[in-house]
Amino acid sequence: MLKQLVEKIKSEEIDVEELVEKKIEEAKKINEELNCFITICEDYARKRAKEIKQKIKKGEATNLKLVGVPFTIKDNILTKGIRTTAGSRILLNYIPPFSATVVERIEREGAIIIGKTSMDEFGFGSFNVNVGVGFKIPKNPNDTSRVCGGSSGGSACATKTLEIPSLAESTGGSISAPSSFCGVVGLTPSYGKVSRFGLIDYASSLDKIGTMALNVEDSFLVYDTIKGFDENDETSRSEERDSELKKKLAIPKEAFDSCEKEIKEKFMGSLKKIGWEYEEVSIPLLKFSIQSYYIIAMAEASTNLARYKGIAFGAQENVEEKNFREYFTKIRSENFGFEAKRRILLGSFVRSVGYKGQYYYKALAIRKKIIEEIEKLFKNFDAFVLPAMPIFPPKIEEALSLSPEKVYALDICTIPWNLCGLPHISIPIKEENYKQLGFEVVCNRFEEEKLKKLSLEFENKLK
Amino acid sequence: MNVKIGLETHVTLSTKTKLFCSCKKGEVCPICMGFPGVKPRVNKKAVILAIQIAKILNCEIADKLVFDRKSYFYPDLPKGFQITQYHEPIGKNGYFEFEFKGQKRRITITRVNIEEDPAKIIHENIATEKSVLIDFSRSGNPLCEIVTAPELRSPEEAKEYLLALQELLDYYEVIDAHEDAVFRSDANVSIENGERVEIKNITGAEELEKALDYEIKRQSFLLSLGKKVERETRGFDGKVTFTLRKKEEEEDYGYIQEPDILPLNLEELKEEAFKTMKRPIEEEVERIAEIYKINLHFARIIVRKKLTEYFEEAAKYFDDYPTLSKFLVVDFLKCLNYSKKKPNETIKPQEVAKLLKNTNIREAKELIKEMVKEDKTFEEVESERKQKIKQKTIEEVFEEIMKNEKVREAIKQLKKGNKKVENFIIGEMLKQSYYKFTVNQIRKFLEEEIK
Amino acid sequence: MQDAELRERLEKICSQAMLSFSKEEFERFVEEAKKILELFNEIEQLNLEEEKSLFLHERQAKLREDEEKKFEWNPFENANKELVKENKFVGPKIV
Repeated sequence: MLKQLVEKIKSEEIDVEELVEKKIEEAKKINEELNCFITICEDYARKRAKEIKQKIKKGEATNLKLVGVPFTIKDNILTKGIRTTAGSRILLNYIPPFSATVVERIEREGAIIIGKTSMDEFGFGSFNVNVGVGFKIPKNPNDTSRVCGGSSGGSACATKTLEIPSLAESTGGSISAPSSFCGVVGLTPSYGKVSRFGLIDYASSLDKIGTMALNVEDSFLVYDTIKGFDENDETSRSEERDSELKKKLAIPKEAFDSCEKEIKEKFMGSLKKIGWEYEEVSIPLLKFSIQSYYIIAMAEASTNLARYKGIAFGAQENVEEKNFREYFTKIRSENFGFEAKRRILLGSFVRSVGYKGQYYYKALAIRKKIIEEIEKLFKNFDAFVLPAMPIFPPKIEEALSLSPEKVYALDICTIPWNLCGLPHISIPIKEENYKQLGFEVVCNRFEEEKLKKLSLEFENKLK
Repeated sequence: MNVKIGLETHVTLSTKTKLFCSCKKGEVCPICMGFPGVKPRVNKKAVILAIQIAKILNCEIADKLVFDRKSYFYPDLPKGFQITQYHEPIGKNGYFEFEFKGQKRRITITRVNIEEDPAKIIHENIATEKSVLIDFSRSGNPLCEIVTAPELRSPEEAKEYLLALQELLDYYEVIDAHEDAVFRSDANVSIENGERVEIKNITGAEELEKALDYEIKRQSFLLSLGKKVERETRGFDGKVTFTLRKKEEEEDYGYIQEPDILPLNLEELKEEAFKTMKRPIEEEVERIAEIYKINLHFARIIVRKKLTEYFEEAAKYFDDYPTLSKFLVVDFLKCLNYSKKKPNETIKPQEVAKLLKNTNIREAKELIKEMVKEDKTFEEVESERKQKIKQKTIEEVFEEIMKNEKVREAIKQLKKGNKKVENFIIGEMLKQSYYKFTVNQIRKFLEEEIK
Repeated sequence: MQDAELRERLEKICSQAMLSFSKEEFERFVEEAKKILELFNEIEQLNLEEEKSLFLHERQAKLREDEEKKFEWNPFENANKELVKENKFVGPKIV
């Protein structure tokens, strides 16, 4: 539990430099086996540990909430001076000149970053197998022949094995999926609650930074330090809402039906343990949330990735003799992975002349309608509950062989909430082998407090 | 020949910082260079100025502030998209009136929108260079794009439109006023109802006229050969237009709404914009014409050429307002143009007042040239003149006063024997020579002269 | 949409997006794109009013005041040394 760890660090019962040294060693060892880190920033971490130690000795750390806590950060969140790649070769040697707001906020509370974790390139994946050119696929800590889930696979793996929290990111379910597959708690806040300044963009209207930890209380503790309006991100918003507790849960039928039999059984078993009243609800539009999400996400991604073309940062080479089309095409084609290229191209396609109405604008309409439908349902229920993923972690080769449209469809348990910007959490249902499953709870927009209340209770009952 | 010209002119708004970041113009940061992870922050002043431009051009002003992403690849576009306004421009359906060859012309302004400036590409020699240099200092500058309907009828008229537009926007102080802040335009030209050709990136009014002249000649030539003008995009290198992109290669900009900027209701901002705007020209003209009882024509020039403050300050010290206004418009302005100075970059208004008070108009016209050119006060030029006078002979002084018709008349009278005019002439000599000579010396000289 | 038409369209999009594939990769891309577009095309059956706006909530941020703030950094730090000249960035020619 983070609170206790922080107390022990403040009282110097645990020596912060020793702790950090221990975690660095563990990280290096784990990484050799599981490939969950892209960068382990040991020098930086040691320097920070020294600083924090000074602060503690001077008595300046008494009010800080994360003093000495080692953290990992998903590699699409900028850390000043520490290489940040977004999992892509096109940023293989990129050193950010500034840190993301969330990084500044946790460091202000005394957090110590020890490494940047593996991810699908730019977030383009659900299994963390779409890694960038030359990057390694992280392995599931419960069964190393299987995937971690994605796109925040490295973060989930590191959180599970090193037992330290992580800042991760979700666009379509990239916190819930790996949390579910690896067996950690993954919290995805409402869109806008956490600043995206310094997050390498995938889809600007869908990206959310969230937290991973070993328990619900810790995931919210970290969330509390990063949440809130940031003037550097004009889409951020500090709003907090509450609603009457109805003590009723809803199971979204269309998502639940897509799950494997064993998943459904495991989930229903847990639901019974929780003991709340529940009802299956049908949202017919839900199955189209997949199309709506991917169309919007790819369209936005295709614009967000247009800055990577070999000028001023990222992969660059000799420009002479090539005209700009040749140069840009070479840099981009050689340094983007296949999935990244696919999403850029399909994203350009769906917003192109002649197709924009039937794809892009239609997708926006679907999104709006789903938001309205779900809003109505929240009048009668406190939360949606369902399995975080419809399958157990597949083997790595299996994941690599799946055709893309099948992979996209497997996001059904997370995409609807991500599309609508709703806060949700994945709580691991205790399991020893690879058959990990996250119990997902979804609340209404800006109702993080209610989500916290529910998840603490459910976690307790699922122990 | 039936000629249709439409212009899309980009003007830089007179803010301190760029459109989406706090860089002062000329500096760079990760935001205006489009580095990974950055997000835009909209400049309030830029929006206010754009609203003012929309009002000046009589447009319907939008209710909400919304931006779009315009995607295309070019070395000068750091993010690979430009944040602009495509679907909901800040202003639309307006008009601009200006004079051309004595006629009043009204041109429809179809839209006014806010957008960010790309970077600048510096060429050694477009035909032979192996690479270019990219200068990001102006990347992210706040621009207003002003688009006309294709109602301009000649290159000369297009030039006059641009000059008049510049003068008007300059008056309202909504645009950058320094030397380098020239207007960049894209022009659409078609002749005899044929296909229109776009010429991109023309800097300034002179270049515009040249580019249009050339393009119209080129199109006429094609028609004279029985060929058709193709729809395409061309560039202008100062002398000729050349193909940049053919119709088939035309960009599909794939516009989407800018997701990083939430819409803003413009009601409050509109109020603030209108409140802080300078009074419309005609209102100002009427005001000073009324208060100072001066000629409307001069009043108008004073206001349009931004001499209002200068005039009103000088008027505190010299109360012959009609003379003052005429002098400023005719002589002072000429000197400013010649020295390429602005009213606040030369002698103080008080000096002009002193000049007019203490000399006759003929001398004032002479002395003002030096005062403006060399930034000399009235005292300075006066004492210099006195020095020069002190070196003049009585003959030279006489020659000078003889330039005055009244003196010549008086001399004629004197020759006829009318002694009454003698004092007048002596008076003139004394003044002109700064009392270098005595009355007796002058009398003796005159006696000799009239013989 | 016809196969040839789709292929041509995708080729044009590749060119506009500054991306190229090897022959085999392009084939793979087109085949997979067809299946993905089949998935996307399922929304054709839905009868919904067209929507052009995508914002999820009201803006909290006020517009930024027009005040200078210098960003302390070295803009050339992430550029290759040979691609910096005279305090500017070397880029590819345009013709």
